[in-house]
Amino acid sequence: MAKLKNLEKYKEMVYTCLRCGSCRDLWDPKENVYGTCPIREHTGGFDVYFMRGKLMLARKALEGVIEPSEDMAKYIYLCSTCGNCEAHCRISQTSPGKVDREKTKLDQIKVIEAFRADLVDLGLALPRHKAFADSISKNHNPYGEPHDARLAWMPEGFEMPEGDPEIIYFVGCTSAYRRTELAKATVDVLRKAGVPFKIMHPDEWCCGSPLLRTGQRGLAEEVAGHNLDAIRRSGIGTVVTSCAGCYRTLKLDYKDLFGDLGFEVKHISEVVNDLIGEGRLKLKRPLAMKATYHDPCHLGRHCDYYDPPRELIAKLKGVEFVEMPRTRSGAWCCGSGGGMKSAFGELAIEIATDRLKEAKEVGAEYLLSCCPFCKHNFLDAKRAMGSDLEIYDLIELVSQAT
Amino acid sequence: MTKASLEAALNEILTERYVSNDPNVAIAYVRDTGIFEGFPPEEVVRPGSAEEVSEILKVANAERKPVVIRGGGSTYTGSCVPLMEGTILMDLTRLDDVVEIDEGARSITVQAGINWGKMMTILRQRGYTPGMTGPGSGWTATVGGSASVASTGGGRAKFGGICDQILGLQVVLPTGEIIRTGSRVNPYAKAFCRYGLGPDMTGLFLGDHGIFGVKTEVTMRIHPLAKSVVHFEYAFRSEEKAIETFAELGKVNELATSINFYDADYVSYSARRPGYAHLSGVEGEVLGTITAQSEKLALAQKEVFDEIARKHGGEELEPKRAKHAYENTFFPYNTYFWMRRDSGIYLCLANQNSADSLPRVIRGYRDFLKAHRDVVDKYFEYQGITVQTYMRHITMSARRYLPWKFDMDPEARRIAMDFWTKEIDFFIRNGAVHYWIGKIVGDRLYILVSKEYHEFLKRVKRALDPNGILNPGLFLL
Repeated sequence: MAKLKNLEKYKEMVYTCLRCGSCRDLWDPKENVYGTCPIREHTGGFDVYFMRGKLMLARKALEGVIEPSEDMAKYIYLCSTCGNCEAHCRISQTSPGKVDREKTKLDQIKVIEAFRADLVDLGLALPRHKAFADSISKNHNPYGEPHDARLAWMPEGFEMPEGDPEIIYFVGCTSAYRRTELAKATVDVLRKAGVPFKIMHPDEWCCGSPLLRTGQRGLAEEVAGHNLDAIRRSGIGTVVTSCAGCYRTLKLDYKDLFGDLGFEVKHISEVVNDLIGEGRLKLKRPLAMKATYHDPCHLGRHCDYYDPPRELIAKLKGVEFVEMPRTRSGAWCCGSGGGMKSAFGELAIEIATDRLKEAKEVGAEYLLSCCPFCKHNFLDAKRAMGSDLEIYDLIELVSQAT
Repeated sequence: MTKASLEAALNEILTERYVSNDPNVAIAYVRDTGIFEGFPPEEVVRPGSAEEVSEILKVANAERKPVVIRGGGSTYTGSCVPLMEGTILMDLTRLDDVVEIDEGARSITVQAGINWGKMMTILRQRGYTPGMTGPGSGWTATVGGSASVASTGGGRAKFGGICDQILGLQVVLPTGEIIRTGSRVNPYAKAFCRYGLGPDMTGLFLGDHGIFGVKTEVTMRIHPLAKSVVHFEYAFRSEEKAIETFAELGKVNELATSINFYDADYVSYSARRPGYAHLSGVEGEVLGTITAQSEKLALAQKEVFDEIARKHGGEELEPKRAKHAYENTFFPYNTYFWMRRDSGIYLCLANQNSADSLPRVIRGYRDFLKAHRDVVDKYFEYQGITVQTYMRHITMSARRYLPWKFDMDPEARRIAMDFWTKEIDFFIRNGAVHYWIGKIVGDRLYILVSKEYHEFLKRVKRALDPNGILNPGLFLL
């Protein structure tokens, strides 16, 4: 029997699942949840496509009843780790008082990531995931782009506000190479607010999120350790991201890996709210749109970060805001997280079309988010569908409005 | 037919997307929510229509392949797991739409694989509710599965169980024919009653655990949402007085949607929790909910209850828990599964009940637990045990869940199963009528059922399912 040493650590959690199936297709208006698992909805839908089946597979793999294989790896990687199942799990919501709750509380994402780490150790990582890991190793980004070009997006002649840097802007690979409009908008807003900031180039490497999500822990710890050292060396106390994935990784995973960070991690939407409140940033230009907001999984369910983006949208003049039914902890995943976009690209786009349809159904003209990865996948879905929905990151609207 | 040709035939019906013989897929279906474990199926299929179900059953008949029918997999007695090797497991959760809400006929027709949560959400948006609002597992339990196991749940006091609500079915017979039951058999009639066709054939398929056919549509009675909801909660210094009240309220069960009883242990357990200190010294509670189409009506009905409770010495409490139970239609699973060993007994009253034997049964059950104290204390100390006693002239079922640390241990599982079996025997011999039967209860029950009845069941089974392909192994068939 193959040794599943990472999964073994979560054995108690695996056995805590009673297979009630709330991870399959839960409808609970009180929790804004209408359906639980996007993978289940866009595949054959067998139990193994959603968490109940994956945990049963984990249990039987731990018992040695079934051996890890490429087929098993496929099912374990068919999960965007969006956390909708965890957020609405009828077992993990409350556990009995006398039992150590932390020990048995089901943390589905941790279990899946541990299982994936074992699959990686057994040489069963998916080829596409290995490929981006190779790129991170060589280029410090998963996109195969040269590290030297990480700041190629920076507007020519950009004038940094004077003064010592107040914050580090951690750009992130997707904003640096694929959705550069987010990076441009972020520095534009910071400049307008007169916030001196530092970008850690050449010391900013991939945050490690794609590696951690796909079980490639060794390299993840290496890049995380590098970034952590660079941040600490800077002596700056606040790191700001415009990427939900970087935010989750810096805030939660770095802490898990290294303990107390010694600095704060903030999302740009929170920072902008503060800057507006302090009068440092003025919203000068009214917009004219009906917009809805998509909670990125890494911000919302993973970090319980739901209100700041909505508070910011409320401040933008001329934006008529409308919620989608599946919102906040019930938000339907865009489909691209957890290594899905790279390994199962078509499926990720298919899942994203659900969200675009939902946005249209509530009459929105704009679908806003706070994550370059979500935006990237939504744009792919928009092209695939021929949708006229506008896809924007919230920071882009702030840039337009200031 | 080889495995490959069976797979090809199933692919032809469903496309490869909904057919799998991958062991990684199959292994996930060896259990329901309980501790009983069956065999991995040879094939798993997810049909999306009655026609597809029919075609699969024709192939299965031709090949004498056993077929296991599964809805949400929410039972705990092994009713939807393969009891032998070489089965086709038919997962019906693709059939999850509302077919029709007929306000004139006051009925809803749904595909059998819809879960209660989804159906209730859609129905409530239209201003309706079924009488019985679903089992505790309703977030995930399917309506078809509930019909197959004769489930009960919210609203049971006034409306009874799901079988009392059902007006007709669409069923695919084991040999592949698609039939309807109830008034819709008449193509000109609406779906509003089960009768008018001679014998009630709907009942044949209710509680059948899928041995007589595959339900693909279920039609149920609907009612307008209540305009007034009033809760009641009475505390008693004597458990006997609480039972007397519970029994007497049961005689006017049509006045309340739920009537529950908590025994002395249950109340004592509650009293130790934050916010419930006022229950200290209370030996029994009766609580529940009255729903009506006007406040005046609801209050008048409650006055009847108040009077009965006062007569037996009941003190009225703020109905916090009754309100909570009503507002959380489906219990989160953990409130069932994680109840403490010492959390006591509670009874939920359903219509047409008789509570005469309750004190004797409760006393007997306590003695039974005392006699097995070593096993209970060792294996069910912290979590995982629940003793739910549903009463429906009288319906009782004890549920046994092992905490994770024992579920990992095969010996502990064996001991737990043995204990559970003894417990089931106790309830059967005390007049309990289980609603979730499955393999666990069925094997014990059919030892005690008359041979003549079992023979009759076999004859009906042979007539409908000559090759015995549907859910073999249940009810000792």
